[in-house]
Amino acid sequence: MTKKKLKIEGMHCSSCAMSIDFDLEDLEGVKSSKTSFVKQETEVEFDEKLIDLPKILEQIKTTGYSAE
Amino acid sequence: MDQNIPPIKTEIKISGMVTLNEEIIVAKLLMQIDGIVKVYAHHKNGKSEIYSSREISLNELQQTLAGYNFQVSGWGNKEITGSETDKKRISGKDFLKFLPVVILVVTAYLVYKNFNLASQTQNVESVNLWVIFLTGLTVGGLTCLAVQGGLLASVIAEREEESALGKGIAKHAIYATGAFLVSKYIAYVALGFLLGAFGGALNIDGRVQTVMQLAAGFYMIAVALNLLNIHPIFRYAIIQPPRFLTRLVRNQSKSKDIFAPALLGAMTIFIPCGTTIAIEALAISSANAFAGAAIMAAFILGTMPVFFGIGFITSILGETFKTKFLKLAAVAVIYLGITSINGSLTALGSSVTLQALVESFPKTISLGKSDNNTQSSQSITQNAEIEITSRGYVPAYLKVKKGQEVTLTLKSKDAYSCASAFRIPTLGVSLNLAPNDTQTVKFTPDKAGQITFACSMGMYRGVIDVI
Repeated sequence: MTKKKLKIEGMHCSSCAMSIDFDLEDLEGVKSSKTSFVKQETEVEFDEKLIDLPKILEQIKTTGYSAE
Repeated sequence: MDQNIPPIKTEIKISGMVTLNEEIIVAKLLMQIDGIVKVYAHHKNGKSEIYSSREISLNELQQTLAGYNFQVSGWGNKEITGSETDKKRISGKDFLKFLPVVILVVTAYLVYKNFNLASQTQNVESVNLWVIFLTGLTVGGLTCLAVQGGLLASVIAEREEESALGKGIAKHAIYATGAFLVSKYIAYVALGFLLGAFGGALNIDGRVQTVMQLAAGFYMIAVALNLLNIHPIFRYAIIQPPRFLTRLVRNQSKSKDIFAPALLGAMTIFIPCGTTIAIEALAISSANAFAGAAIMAAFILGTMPVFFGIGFITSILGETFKTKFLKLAAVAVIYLGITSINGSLTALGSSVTLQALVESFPKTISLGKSDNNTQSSQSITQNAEIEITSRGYVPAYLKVKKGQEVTLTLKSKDAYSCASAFRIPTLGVSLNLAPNDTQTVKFTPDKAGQITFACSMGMYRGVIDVI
């Protein structure tokens, strides 16, 4: 399991944070995702054997935000 | 299964997707094709990316989507087939989708009129209800849609898989969206009623309400400043709901139950966004169950249209419109905040209010209800009579002599608004009149100056000039 902190841009309210968590946790291999609106960051825990970081970043982009 | 093989990416154009809902439906349908591992569909331009472990032909994709009114073409020749079909779909169907909203607005209005709720909800100025509605229509709708639209789309897609009926998907989506919105509306109106009643129960001496109104005002301004992205500190104004509640709502969105959309709609009260919380604060500060219900009703009605027509609206106004819309909404929220703060300052008897500021300027503009009086022609009297109606106090300007007892006779005539809650904050006078009532109050002013009287919410006010 790997834990990563990602900086998110483009969130304007806590609903956005929820959307990101919901979408990430739907991905296979992502164990948990905790997005903080106040800190503008996501803490994501995932299994590197099943999913890699670029895919996670891609999903955040699809949800509508930019991350790095 | 095919984790090690890099997937093949195919870019195609899918025409016929108008809303987010259809995006998810398309993705769900295509995921059923053997070999497809991921689908990204975008309703705005129809561009869709398909990741698969084998080559997928356009024909195969078209067959899967054939019964659902979606057309597949290669991404290269998008212009020829795309734009025309898009326009056709938008014109007729999307206006039909607004029908449930129109029906809801009309019924809400009829209920409001026929059950004589109008007199009960005078605590909220109708102008402000419009601003609340507009706030819902702009910011509320967009921020609510961010999460709730996704949840709704997912519950629709779940049902669709379950029923396996295939055709009639658009109809089903409208029913589900309707059920979702109606139960959401009912839940929020009930919540508004409870919040208003809660505010009323707290409001034993009138002070609590004023303080709540002040706090609600500042909170709304903080929310607006967050929307305008002025400073990161204002992000703290946005309360993030606890995770167990968001989980609960999330699980509901995965339910295949026929009542799932309706239940999901009602459950959205557990995941309010910042603006919704600001409006809820306003509902509490109204300190009246009916006023609270009216405030929430106006807001939620405002949030509804985007659920039906987001694709339609964004396709007209383009990409940049969302950020501009948020700014417009922030202005509406700031207006509500300032009105709320100003009202509470008036009720507290503060000399720093908008009306006082305006009065200190040469009389070229008039603001508020207290200015329609002729100050100079008012004669000095120690026995004044003030008539109270739903619209405020007449006269709203009195002249009295200092050092002599003043007797004010208050006569209310069909005063169903908060004007019947008469306050002179600096003298500690607090009289609650019945709609048709007469009461007197006596006091002796010991120094010259202005004494403000106002209703409990600070919406209606007047001045006693002590000379």
